[in-house]
Amino acid sequence: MVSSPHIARVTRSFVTVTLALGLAACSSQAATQAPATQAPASQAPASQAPVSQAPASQKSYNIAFIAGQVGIPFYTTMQCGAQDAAKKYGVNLTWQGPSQWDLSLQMPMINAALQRHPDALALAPTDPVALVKTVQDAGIPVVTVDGNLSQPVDIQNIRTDNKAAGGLAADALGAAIAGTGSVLVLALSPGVSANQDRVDGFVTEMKAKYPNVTVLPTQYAGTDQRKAADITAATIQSKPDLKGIYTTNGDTAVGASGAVIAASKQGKIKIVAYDANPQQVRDLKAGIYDGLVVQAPYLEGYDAVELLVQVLDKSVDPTTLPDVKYPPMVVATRDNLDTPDVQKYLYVDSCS
Amino acid sequence: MAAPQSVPALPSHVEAVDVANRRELSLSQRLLGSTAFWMGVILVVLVLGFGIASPDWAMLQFSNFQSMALSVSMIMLLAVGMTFVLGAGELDLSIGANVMVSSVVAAKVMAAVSGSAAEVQAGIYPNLAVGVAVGVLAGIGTGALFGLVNGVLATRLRISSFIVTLGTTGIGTGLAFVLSGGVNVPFVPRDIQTGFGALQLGGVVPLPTVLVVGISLCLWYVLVSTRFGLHTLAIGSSREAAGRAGINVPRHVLSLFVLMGAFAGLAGILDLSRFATTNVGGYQTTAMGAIAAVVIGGTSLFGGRASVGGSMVGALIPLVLATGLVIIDVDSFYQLIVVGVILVIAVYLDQRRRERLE
Repeated sequence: MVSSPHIARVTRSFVTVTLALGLAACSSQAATQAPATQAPASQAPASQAPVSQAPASQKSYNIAFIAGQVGIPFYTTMQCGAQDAAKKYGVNLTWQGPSQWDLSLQMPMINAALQRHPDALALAPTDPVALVKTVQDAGIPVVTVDGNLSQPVDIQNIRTDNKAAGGLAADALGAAIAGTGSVLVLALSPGVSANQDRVDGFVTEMKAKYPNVTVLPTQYAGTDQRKAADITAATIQSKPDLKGIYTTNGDTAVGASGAVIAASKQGKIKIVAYDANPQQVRDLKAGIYDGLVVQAPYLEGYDAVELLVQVLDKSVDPTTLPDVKYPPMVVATRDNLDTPDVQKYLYVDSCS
Repeated sequence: MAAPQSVPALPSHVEAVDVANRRELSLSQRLLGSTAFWMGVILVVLVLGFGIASPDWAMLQFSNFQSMALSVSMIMLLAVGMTFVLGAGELDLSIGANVMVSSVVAAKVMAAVSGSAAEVQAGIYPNLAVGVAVGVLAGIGTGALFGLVNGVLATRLRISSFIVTLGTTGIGTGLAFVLSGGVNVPFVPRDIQTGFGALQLGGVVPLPTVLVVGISLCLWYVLVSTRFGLHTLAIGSSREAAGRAGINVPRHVLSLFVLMGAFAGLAGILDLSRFATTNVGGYQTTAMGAIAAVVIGGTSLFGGRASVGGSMVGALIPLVLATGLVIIDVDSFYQLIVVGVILVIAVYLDQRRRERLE
């Protein structure tokens, strides 16, 4: 028999959800909201929702996932992973994210999601410091992905090991240039620690594994393709033994490849870049790049949802977990690109 | 359009007193009095200095000149357009955003028209020529439209162009992000790079440089020998006097902004042809870089005095500095300091020289 407090609770939840959805729809930014796996009305507290046939959990949890940015293959791939895990564990997953990597755009979404009182939250923090308090005050289990918080107040942080990524890149580039010659390192800006980790990991591994390779001093080009191209062109002039270029982000890769092509050195100077968007994979095949360090956004999304389910089920004790978990990575080359082991890592524009 | 017979051809460095006295300066007098010439001297000194300091004369290699010529083309184009804007006493801070938005529009149009979405993703472009042509027109058109908006706001609303273009910078950048979704446009046909951006005329001069130098020389002629150029400098020298002399000032200023905008659109195409994608994370310092190039070259920030030749040289100096410093292995953090110091010294020396002349 349905009691009055029960009806009041369902009605309150329904009204809150509708208002939150209305506010989200009215926001000026084009935030993408993937359809929840069930209709909004069923986002009432878990005890009211029908029990689903989830294999591993007994309840149907509501998990909110706030991405760092939507509309880019990296996060679309992460969404695929999160949704696959949600399907496996019977989770009601809501996926939201701002159109830009911008805290001022992400914050309203986090607040709106928390207003709906999910059971747990997965979050890609666009600001490591400002979101610490938000996570602390959330009152529910929180897992962070991609970026990290300045203090480990989350259950766990799942992100790329940028130092290891740099090391993988060094292995790939060193092999591609047959262990001799000079390599140029193009970084983002001083003070971006994730990017600096990519540089440090590369330099350490290159010096250890390929001691005959000269690693030239790091140059900083920011997100300016022209600057990266100018630095590359000047280095081509001054270092006749330049054999490889290590780029740590998308724009430096584009700039460096532009300069190499203009100097008619494509194929003679090998370039290693990050990420495997469809465009980059195409460029790898075409010989613009010689190696792509591929992160694992699919696993970040999948593991985040899976871990939250386990914490909610109490099958995992959060206090025993390490602060950071690093998913595995691969380096894609023209040789291994078509193997299933590498294919499963490539980023996608939409989930199949 | 040549000036009427009764007015002598103006020197590239226009001084009001010389026009009044109708003095025809000799070539050597004109050269030695012009900032552009002395900046050219400084440029040659820098190139030679770096050449001596660089290992194996790397700075003086022909391939280095080629790559510098290619790189400078985009900023030179913007500087030449900005010469006219500054010559009229106006300012356009929005050219960076203009280049960004124009390149996004051009890239999207190229990718959309050259083939279906699936074909383009796979790298097949059945309608390549049409797609590129329409994309180029769309890019230049967007730039001109942006310039039109700037011009209308500056002339109709009578807000200073500094404020107007400061505002349109934000609008343009936001628009570029909205159109591109915040990411660089993928699947632009690489043929614009392999077929133009990375090619040289006769294997010697990069094609983009040929285009830009050609345009610059045309504009040099326009500034020095046509009524359009004369009116531009008159407006910059004294807006009121120009208006009373019968020049339609608002319409002329509007046309300058549209011209600047069209150049920004073309600059966006040039960058597209260099990288085969857009650069929505860039162009933050483009406007300042172009203005600096123009001012270094001798154009006055307050209008009335302009030099296209000076702007062409002024565009080269920061690039030569940046390239030379990398070639001689100066640490990347020191590069920023050195470039700033040398620019200040160069402009200061020129200022002293001009003060001594007056």
